[in-house]
Amino acid sequence: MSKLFEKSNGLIKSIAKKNLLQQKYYDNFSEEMTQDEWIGLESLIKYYENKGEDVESLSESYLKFIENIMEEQFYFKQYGEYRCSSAKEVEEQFYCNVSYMKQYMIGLALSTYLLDSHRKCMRWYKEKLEEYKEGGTWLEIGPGHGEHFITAIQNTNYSKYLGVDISKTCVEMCKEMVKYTCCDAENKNICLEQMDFFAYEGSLCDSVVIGEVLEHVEQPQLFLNKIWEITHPKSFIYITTVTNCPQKDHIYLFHSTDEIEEMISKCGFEVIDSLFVPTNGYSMEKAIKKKATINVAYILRKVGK
Amino acid sequence: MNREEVLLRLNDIFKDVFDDNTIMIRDETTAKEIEDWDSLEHINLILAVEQCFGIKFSMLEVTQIKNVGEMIDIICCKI
Repeated sequence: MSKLFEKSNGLIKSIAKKNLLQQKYYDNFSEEMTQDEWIGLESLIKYYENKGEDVESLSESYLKFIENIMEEQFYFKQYGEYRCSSAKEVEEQFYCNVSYMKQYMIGLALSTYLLDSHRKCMRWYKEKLEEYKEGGTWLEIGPGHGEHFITAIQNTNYSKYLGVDISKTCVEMCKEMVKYTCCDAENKNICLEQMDFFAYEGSLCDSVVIGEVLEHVEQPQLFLNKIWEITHPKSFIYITTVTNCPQKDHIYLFHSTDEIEEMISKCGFEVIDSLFVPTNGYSMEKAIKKKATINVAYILRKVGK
Repeated sequence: MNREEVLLRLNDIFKDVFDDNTIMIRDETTAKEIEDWDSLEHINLILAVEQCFGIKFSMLEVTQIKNVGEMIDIICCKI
């Protein structure tokens, strides 16, 4: 099947050629992705090619993404903490750097397909969307490169899709992605705004998605508290985050899934479904023992506080 | 310390990191031949090598090492 997707194959070969550990990972990769995922990756590569990238530059971006993770893993192994602990540090060191951010966002977008844990979480998200196909307001906090947001637009039928991000760059990037991928969604009410989520004063949301945000902020519980305020007991609330995942712009260290769930409970939610995906194909036991990254996804229900 | 001595010491590190006393590395040994040698264990391996030999790898060296032989070459240059 993978032979049909020339650009995707070319990208994977380029990555594997340049990094032996990646080569080992990609040796059996062709069986890992579904046809939809191959189509998605091929489309993503074409999108970036339209913006002036090519397979070589994309592979460089992805390898830089991986290299940055490794660099932070070194620090984490030695000191047991993330290098940055404040939004100000991350803003000054990384978010202000336009070329870094461009390469980083490309690497992150590609990881939706190329990184096992991201791919599995996205696959689970799509399955769960089937149970929450209709509603009023769909809100995503921090849509970033737009994969969750676009997937929701393409697979559900809400009266309004709102994506809010504090970063103007991310909002613009997401708008471009939505325009490119959602050509058949012209009848849908889609709004992407640069704004502080805490300033949201719209109607209660039937769905709230906050993917890979909580580990980027100093006080994730404040985000959960605000989500509690703007949802009702039947809202679809989907969050993803990670434990022990050093990256350059990760600030809040969740040491365990128990810690995440304790915070969720304190903020007035119960977990009604969950997915844990340890890194590198590890079992949960091995990941916990080695303090390796575990990607987590939760579907929550608002309950009393 | 000559190359042979580095190889012997490195072999002990590999046995320790991968918890496998049967490992016998050679210059051509790559990650493909050691099942548990993934990106995370690579970090553990590099940290152990740095500590043992009193050296520091650059990130470029860490990500570009293709086999044990190249690792030994780098170690010999740095000690």
